[in-house]
Amino acid sequence: VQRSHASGIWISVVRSFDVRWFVVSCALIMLQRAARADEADELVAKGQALAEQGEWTQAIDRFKAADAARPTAKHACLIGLAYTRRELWPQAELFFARCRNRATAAEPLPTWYAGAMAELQGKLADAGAVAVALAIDPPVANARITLSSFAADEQLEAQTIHLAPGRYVVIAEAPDFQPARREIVVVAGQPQNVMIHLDRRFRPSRVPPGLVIGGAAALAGALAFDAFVLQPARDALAGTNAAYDANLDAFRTKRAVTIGMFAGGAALVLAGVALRFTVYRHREASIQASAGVRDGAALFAVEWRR
Amino acid sequence: MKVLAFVLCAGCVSEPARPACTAARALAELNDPDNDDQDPWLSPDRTELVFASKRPGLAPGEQLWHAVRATYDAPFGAPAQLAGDFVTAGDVRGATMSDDGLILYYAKEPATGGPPAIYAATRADRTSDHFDASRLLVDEGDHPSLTANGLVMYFAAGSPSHLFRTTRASLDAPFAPATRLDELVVDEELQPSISADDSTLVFAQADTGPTHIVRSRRGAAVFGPAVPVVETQLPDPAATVERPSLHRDGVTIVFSSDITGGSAAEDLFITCE
Repeated sequence: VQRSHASGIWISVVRSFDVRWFVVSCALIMLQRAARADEADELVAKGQALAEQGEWTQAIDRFKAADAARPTAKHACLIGLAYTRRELWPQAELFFARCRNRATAAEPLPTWYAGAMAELQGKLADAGAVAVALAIDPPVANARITLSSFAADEQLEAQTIHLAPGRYVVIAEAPDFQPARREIVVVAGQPQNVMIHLDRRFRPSRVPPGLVIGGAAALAGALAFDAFVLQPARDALAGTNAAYDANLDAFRTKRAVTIGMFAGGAALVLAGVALRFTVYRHREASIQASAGVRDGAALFAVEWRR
Repeated sequence: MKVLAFVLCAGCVSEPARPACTAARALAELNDPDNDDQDPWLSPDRTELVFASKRPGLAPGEQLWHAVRATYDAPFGAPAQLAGDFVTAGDVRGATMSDDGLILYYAKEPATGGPPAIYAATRADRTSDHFDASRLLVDEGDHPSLTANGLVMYFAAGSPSHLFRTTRASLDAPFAPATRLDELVVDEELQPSISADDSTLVFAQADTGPTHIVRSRRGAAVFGPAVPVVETQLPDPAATVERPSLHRDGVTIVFSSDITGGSAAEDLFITCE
């Protein structure tokens, strides 16, 4: 009876402690979110103030910081709007698209969005921007594409964007894949599809080092066995023929074990080294080759990593 | 440096050669100060030694005794007489055993006198000192010695004594008529002891000097010249050194000698142990 009574007290203490801890944790999380909201709103206000002064670049930085603190459709649209003021139409298109994707019933698109998009379409057409469909092979989730004309923090998913004629370097990255880099030439009036191939990132196999380490351990064990077991058995053979005969079988057995350990260890080390430079060698050196013809220019590229 | 390391490693696992022969020594714990002890035979595991002795026992004259020890390097315990159907009047000597220690080969003189014959007796296990079911192997012969497989037997016979060799198809089959080893005849050859593989024969040789022990190695068909076994030579060159038994290791020899200073006329010795 005493035990169950004590258990009941303990459970009630734990429960009351858990409830209080839960309430405190929720309050902390809500406070943290509120602080982020305040921070984001403050950054947006600063960005808008800078925009009113015509400091578009700094305004964009503030809007991006606000978006980093709390990603919203509004923040993306503000960034896109600021880019239209800087007449960086492809970037504006990117962020307007992001704004549209984030919009929900609770957070609808800004009232000025339609007008801004219409203006953007017109400007893209005036600039002779060409639709470029960016795709990644294989279609990896979380893959990100960076364009040389974009800021480094402006990454996009596989999608169609409009780019002004010119040369661009497209870099695609994805977890567990090696980054792929491709140069494209956008020609006025020639929409194009750009497929970027991603190779899986090489992960050094554990087999060769495992074999080498195992072999080294076996060799070390063989040395220890030789020193502490075989050599005493050898010493036991000295003295008389009687001792020699009596201990010869034991010596031979221990010698066979020693040789086996030496041979096994050496074989493992050699196998590990051989595999490292044969079977597993090519998995490390990924070679890529590409070729293309654009505007009468031929491009052949070979890329490898070591 | 790598080659040196390899050589060192190969050296550390190689099988060492047999140690050099130790000097002959008397088996003091077995020798009876009042009676002759001779014809020793040492078991392959060196824990049992059989010999002939004239010490008082179950029957008059020379009888077979044995002593055992726990390990190869321990001293032998007190000798005990081997019992069996051969313990009757008439000397028994020249004992040897099969490698498993279950078959005893010996020579026994008739109680009425005359040349000895060779017999084989058996025991149930190695802990027993009682042999029975003796059966005749050779009508006239002394000091038998068999190869490890038990199919080839050497013995001495005749007067003057010479060495003979005989074979059998199986352990249950009778031995074929023996052949004298004419290539070893010098004057008188006694007490042969053959190696496990029938390649080396050790025996006593009597010519102009005292009897001494010699060794001959078997060629393709016949034995080569016999040469003295220096390991069995004792400090007294006048002493008789005879009745050798070559151990299964092919090196160790137990024998007997009448060297002056011994406990009796004949004592047991061991060399290259």
